[in-house]
Amino acid sequence: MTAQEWFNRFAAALAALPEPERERAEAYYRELYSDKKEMGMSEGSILLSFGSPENAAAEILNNFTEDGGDERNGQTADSMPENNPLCSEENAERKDGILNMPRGKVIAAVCAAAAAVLLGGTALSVAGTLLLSELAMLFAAGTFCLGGAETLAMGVIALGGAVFCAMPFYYAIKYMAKGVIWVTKKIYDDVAREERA
Amino acid sequence: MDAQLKKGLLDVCVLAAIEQEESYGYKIIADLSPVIEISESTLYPILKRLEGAGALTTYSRAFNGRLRKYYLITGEGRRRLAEFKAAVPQMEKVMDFILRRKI
Repeated sequence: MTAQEWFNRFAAALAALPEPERERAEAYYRELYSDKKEMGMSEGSILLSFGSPENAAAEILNNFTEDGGDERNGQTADSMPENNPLCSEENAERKDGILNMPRGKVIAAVCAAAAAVLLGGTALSVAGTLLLSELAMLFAAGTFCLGGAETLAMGVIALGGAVFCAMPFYYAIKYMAKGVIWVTKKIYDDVAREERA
Repeated sequence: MDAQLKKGLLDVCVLAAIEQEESYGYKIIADLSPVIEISESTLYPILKRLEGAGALTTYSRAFNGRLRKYYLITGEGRRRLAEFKAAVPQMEKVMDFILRRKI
């Protein structure tokens, strides 16, 4: 691993931190790197002394909150599987807010609303299709019994309308099916993640 | 060493390392390493915490064409250090007791 790679991975692992905090931590390690380099240490041995970028980042994330996080200061990053930023205390706190309900539930709620709108639209679409089909049939019967270009034209327009009304129905069904698959997957992922945590 | 005990000692060690003159990350680690186990990732939160508590302040100065961050002890830092030093005789008694030496 090169120093650049180490710092890239370090920055990526600190993505959960606010920008100034991340810059501060990076500057700290960059300064140490430069100092060690100037003392004659090789890139490899410097990076070895830093340990893995993920562990170094975990130590910083752990100590980010002044209260709570600090209490675990003495422990090493390796001995703490809960170092994962996804299940740190900050995240646990964030779950309290209404905007920060577990993601799966939010997605499910939004999708339920979208599905309701789609269902309403579908009902309208079906009703329109049926009504206009019926009209088209009436005009067809009229044309057959009475003749006349006007009745035929009206029948064709009604048929066109019926097809037009059927289109949203088709798309609604299509996207609802896609949506149901997507939501199921998201909820499944969320449950799996909560179980892991 | 016990994690909590080490944590308390490291705070004082860092303050002691900058008591005489300002210092920087690499030098603090180099000065403390022979005395107590300390790594880059351990030092960072200590410096941050001590700064937050007003026990030290920082400033950046150009060095070799780059910026280096220096740590300076404050009055509060000196007070903490003096407090620790004043408690040493008491701690020695405790050590004697733990090690079952004759007082």
